[in-house]
Amino acid sequence: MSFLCRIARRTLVYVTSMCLAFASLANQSFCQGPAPSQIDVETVYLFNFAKFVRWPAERDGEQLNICIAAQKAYSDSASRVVAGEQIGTRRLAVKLVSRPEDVSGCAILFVGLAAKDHLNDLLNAAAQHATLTVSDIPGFLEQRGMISLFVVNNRVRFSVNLENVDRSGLSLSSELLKVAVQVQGKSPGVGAR
Amino acid sequence: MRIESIPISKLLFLIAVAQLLGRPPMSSAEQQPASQSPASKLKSLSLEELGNVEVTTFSKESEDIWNTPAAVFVLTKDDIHRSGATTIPELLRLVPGVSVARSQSGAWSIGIRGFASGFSKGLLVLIDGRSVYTPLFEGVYWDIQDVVLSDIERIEVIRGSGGTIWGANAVNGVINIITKKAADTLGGFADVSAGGTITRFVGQVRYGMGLGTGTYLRMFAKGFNRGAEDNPLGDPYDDWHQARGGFRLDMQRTQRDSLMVSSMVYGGKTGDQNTIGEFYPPSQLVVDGEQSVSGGDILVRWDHSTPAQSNFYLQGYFDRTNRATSQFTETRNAIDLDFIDHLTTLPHQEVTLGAGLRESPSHLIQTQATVNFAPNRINNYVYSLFFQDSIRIVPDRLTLTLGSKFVDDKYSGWGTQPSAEILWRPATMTSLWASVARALRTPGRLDRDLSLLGNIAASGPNGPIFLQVEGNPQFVPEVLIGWNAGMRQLFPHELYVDIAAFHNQHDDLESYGGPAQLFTFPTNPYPYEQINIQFGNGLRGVSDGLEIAPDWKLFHWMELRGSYSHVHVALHSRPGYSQESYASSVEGSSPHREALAQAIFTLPHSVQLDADYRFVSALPANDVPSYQTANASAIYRLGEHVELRASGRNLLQPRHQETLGANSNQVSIKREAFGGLNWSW
Repeated sequence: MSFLCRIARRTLVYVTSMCLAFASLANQSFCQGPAPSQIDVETVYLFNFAKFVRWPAERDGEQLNICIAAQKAYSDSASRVVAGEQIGTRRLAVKLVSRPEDVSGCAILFVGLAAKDHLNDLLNAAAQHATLTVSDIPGFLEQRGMISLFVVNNRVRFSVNLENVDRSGLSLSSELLKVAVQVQGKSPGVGAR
Repeated sequence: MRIESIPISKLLFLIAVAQLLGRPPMSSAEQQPASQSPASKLKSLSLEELGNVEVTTFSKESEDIWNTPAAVFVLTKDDIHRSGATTIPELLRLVPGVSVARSQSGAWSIGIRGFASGFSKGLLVLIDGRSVYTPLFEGVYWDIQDVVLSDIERIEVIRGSGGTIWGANAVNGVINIITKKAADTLGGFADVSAGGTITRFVGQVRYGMGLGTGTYLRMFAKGFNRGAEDNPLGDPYDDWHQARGGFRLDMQRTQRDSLMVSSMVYGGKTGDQNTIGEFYPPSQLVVDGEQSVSGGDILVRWDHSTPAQSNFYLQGYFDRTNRATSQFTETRNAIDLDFIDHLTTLPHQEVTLGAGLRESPSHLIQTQATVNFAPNRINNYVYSLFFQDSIRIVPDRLTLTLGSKFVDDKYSGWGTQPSAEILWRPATMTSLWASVARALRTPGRLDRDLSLLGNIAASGPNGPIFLQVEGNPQFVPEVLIGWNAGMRQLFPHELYVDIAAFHNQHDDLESYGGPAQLFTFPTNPYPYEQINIQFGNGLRGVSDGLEIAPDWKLFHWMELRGSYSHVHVALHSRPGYSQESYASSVEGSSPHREALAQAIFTLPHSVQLDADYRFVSALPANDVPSYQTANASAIYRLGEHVELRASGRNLLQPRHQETLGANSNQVSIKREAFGGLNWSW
């Protein structure tokens, strides 16, 4: 086992010296923590979307509910993101939803993979309430969804189906569309990356 | 549809969704310490910046694992990255129930649940849907199976007969290697490992780019040079070097259609040693000869999905392998077409239909009078059809899957391989499953067409003694009826436990056929004796065993994993055969007990430390004692682009033997340490 100790000691000395050497060369922050999780980035997207959507005027003053039909990890993350936040006059809140009738109070509805089999019912319910629908289920935009989140090269990006957004009476700001990877249901060229 | 008209059963399910607790199992997501809030940092970013944040993704397949009625284990890209392994077989050591024994630098004996040998049969190995087994011996040449390891998305291993859904030869298990989509490997990446006694140099480089909407291309190249392991006869014959390159192109044409084209070519040398029998003195010749290997493949796959109706894929590939050994040269082509359609139109059912066609013409050139496969030109085709119906008896609780596969091959005609599986999920974080399946291992050229003359004694009373082993044109498929059961449970505090047990009934297993016949040839000037023996389906018996694999995420910075596998094989002769010694050689060629313990540390300052220890019991048939050894690796991230790593392998002793080497050499596997560096841009 003395061999192991030798290896360990050498490795430690090596790593320490390398860290010091490189850290002095660059002024970047080394030794950073782990990358954020996909869940956190997706829920921050939901928070951001809330800023770029215009809901019909009758909703002014109401609490802005971000509804999560997904694993609890998503609603936990979303709760941390929106804690104490307000957009205009609307206070933000997170609701974990399970039944289509819960969707009535939702400004934004996120559907995760766990609720994949019930996507249809949830979207039907959302269609009656001017709700922005977001999901990371593949093929979401083809199933009447509005914003689809997906991972490219370990980065979370999104595409929009404008036709489905228009049908609901919502409007999205051009700033949002500019950043989308793809904007469907609109003349090409507008939603360039 | 109006809400009021939604049936109660659906509402009940939706309530269940709400009860989904916590995070997905095995996911690396959400490992943030509770004290700091990464979310608040993310909130300050613009939308554009948010899209450039690199994230740790969780495996979407984790949900699928809970719903798989089979013993399944997934090695993730993170596991692969941290392992310090530089070959696919070394990665497979981390999978419970898989026995990996290195017989020399570039050769392994890999088996699932017993039945391991250098010519392990009945194991289906797929690389991006391409089956890499060879009908020459119905097994896998592991020395030519390689990819850029950091481009692997995951390796799924199913233990037990996956006979129904997968291709032919999946009797003891399936190893499915899936590479990343080109969209997930954008930019440049270069990686070098060097400095070990075995791992002298491994270099890999990859570049990925976008080519317009939804189209991505990855190009890669890899080369390595590995040294010889320790041969007590002092003859280091097993140097191993190889180079390969290729590309993968992914096109998402519409939301419904995607196309994948991938291709790879390789060439290299695998050191080897053989004893060749000769009729004239000295009767046997030990030949050190490199095997020259080369080949390439191109695969096209089209995926189409119609939401809520069906998704199918159609794939075709061409695969060519060349191998020149000191005894023969084989050139083999495989042309393969597969179609699989999942239909989801029926309520509470998922129907899968599939068909496969594989033509594998080969040409063998005999280079030694003593080894031949006749005829030299042959087409080993395999046609298969299958269907499967998964019936959700109680949605998200109880699923029954029934199916069958029908396989026709060159040697044995159509065979039926039915299976039935049941899966019960009493709670979201519990699943229990059981299955029974019949699986066939189709005959290979070795069983049917071999003609091998080996010298077993350089001198005897009537001259040297030769053993003539002949393939058997009457060899029929080996039959397995496998009974499997298992459970997966996520306990509080992130303790995940996977238990699987099996009882396999084997019949028509390969052995020698009738009794050996002795002939004396008093021919001058070199008289000799010859024992003739032929393969046959002379064995039957049972194998029983279990695997327990806990995985405990103790803290966000520390994870402990382990596995214990036990297999007991008991074979005996079928009526009319007397093959007890063959039986005990099969029983004693794979370890009956294996244990693995892993400690995985994710430390502050971007340091990752991994260590594993394993115990493998003896192989009495190969005269190999039990052994225990350990691996360790450390990774240190230097900023955004550079990563350093150090690996130590087989650390507990200078050398240890794992199985018999080529030519029955008692080759020992050496301890080694090497360093590595990767750079992405």
